[in-house]
Amino acid sequence: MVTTTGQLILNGLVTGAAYGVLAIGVGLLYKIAGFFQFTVASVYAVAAYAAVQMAGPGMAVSLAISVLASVFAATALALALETGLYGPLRARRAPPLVPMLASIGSVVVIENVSAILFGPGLLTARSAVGTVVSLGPWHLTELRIAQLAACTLTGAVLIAAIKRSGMGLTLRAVASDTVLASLQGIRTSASVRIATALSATAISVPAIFVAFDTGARPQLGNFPFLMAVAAVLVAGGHSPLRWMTAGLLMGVLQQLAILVLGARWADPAMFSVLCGALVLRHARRGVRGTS
Amino acid sequence: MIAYAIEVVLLIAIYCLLVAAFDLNGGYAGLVSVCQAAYFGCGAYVAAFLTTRLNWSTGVDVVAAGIAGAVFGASVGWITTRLKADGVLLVTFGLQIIFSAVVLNWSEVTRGAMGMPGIPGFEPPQRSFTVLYVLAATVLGVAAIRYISRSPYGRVLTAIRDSETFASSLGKSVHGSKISATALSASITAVAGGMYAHWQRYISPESFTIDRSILVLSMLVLGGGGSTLAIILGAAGLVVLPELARLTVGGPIAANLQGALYGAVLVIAVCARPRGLWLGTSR
Repeated sequence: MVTTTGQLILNGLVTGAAYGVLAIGVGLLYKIAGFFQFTVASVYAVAAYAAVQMAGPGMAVSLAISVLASVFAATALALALETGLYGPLRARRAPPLVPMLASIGSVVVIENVSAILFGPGLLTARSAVGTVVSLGPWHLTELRIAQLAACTLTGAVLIAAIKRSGMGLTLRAVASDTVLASLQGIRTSASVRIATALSATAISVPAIFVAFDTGARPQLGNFPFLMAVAAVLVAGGHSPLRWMTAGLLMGVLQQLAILVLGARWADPAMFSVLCGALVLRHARRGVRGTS
Repeated sequence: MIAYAIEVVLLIAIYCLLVAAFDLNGGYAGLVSVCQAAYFGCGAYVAAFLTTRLNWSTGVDVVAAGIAGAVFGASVGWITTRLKADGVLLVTFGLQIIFSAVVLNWSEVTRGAMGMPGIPGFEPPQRSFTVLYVLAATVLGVAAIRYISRSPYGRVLTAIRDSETFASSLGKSVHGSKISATALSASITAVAGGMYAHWQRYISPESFTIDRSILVLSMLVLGGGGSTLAIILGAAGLVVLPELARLTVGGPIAANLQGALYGAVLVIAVCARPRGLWLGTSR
């Protein structure tokens, strides 16, 4: 029992690190753009597809090139959506519901186009799982260990960039008050594009590892995106460190839910956490009187 | 060919009912959600379960589906009543995913991915009676929703959508009205789901995914809502256009092409009317 729980917590940390990076990306965009971009799920899936396609038997290029291609594809898609869809809607002062609906519509389009191009099923690359490493009574594949390390490093770099750099200060200023930031001479639209590129680059890191581990499919990003949203809502505030920590906890919680409820009820349970977090967050804001 | 045309007409009729029910909730009350497929599926599964497992008669089970839909909708309304528009959208997105997971995994009741076959059709079994029942239910349902939307209750919903504070200052129960509007909309959608189950005689989780919710949302946004003509145009447009695409392209990619079309219509419609998605709002 202890061994199983420990293994699940270890698995949860690997998954949670990925959720944490996604949570920082989702949270950054949410604070700056003012709405949850469902297309983050598509960016994640496209990064995975690019990695699998480049590393697959047809292309079989080096791992470094497939990673670069994946980051490029994800960032290009995110910037194209920002420039062609969200930016114009923001310029026309559309209420937050409108870009959210547009992002849901875009997800449906991208998922279906992906299914047409690559097939509706799982697309896998050559095996990159590596050997299994034993950590006492627990086991992880080399790929999962690399995923944990890469996601933790990406999260740390993102947190440092947002908290310590001049660019991060600018992004936080825009997230805090767009009008005041533009009065201070900050180009808010450029800041949104920087945040979009930063977020997409970070999101592609866990996507690449997941693609090599399990493969890519059109709906690959939906569940991680919703877990990231739940992490942002549970953590609240503007702190990327809290979003990352909440993401880690969501990953562990998900694995423990499998232990308690069984695999088939773990996902509904996690979505219930998302709904509960949203409702409770609103109730808490109401108590503080800031809603 | 005539049989195919009748199937398309029935599909349009079912969607008209779905869009009209969503117009009451999403258009007049301003509670835009993406879990219409969950209400629809709830009705379909309740009707299928009652008739295939408990041998209830057709008709009574559709009423029970409507009641189940009302309870489901009231629960969703209660959960979302204090949330803002983006919160409602997010929670209902999550609820739709939960519903899909539940019908897929609760195989003891729903038979999971295998779906539920052997659902009895309408009695008498002739196609003309099926057409008659579905069309009659649609006309009655749409007329009832139009009546409700023009009634004092409908004006309260519109007032709440435009300004909750103003509606409260008039002594109207904002939360109660929101919950009842969601319950009413879900109930009508669930009745449509029950009828769909009897018409198709087989249901499976793939019929009630987020894509169908997006389709209904796209139909309402495309038509503009606020009038019977808008509802019919929205529903007919997004049934006929993808059917034409399916007939033209064919093959396994047709379903994905249809899905991409629904999403594209939603994106184009919201970009074309970013300040007001519902034409009914300008009245």
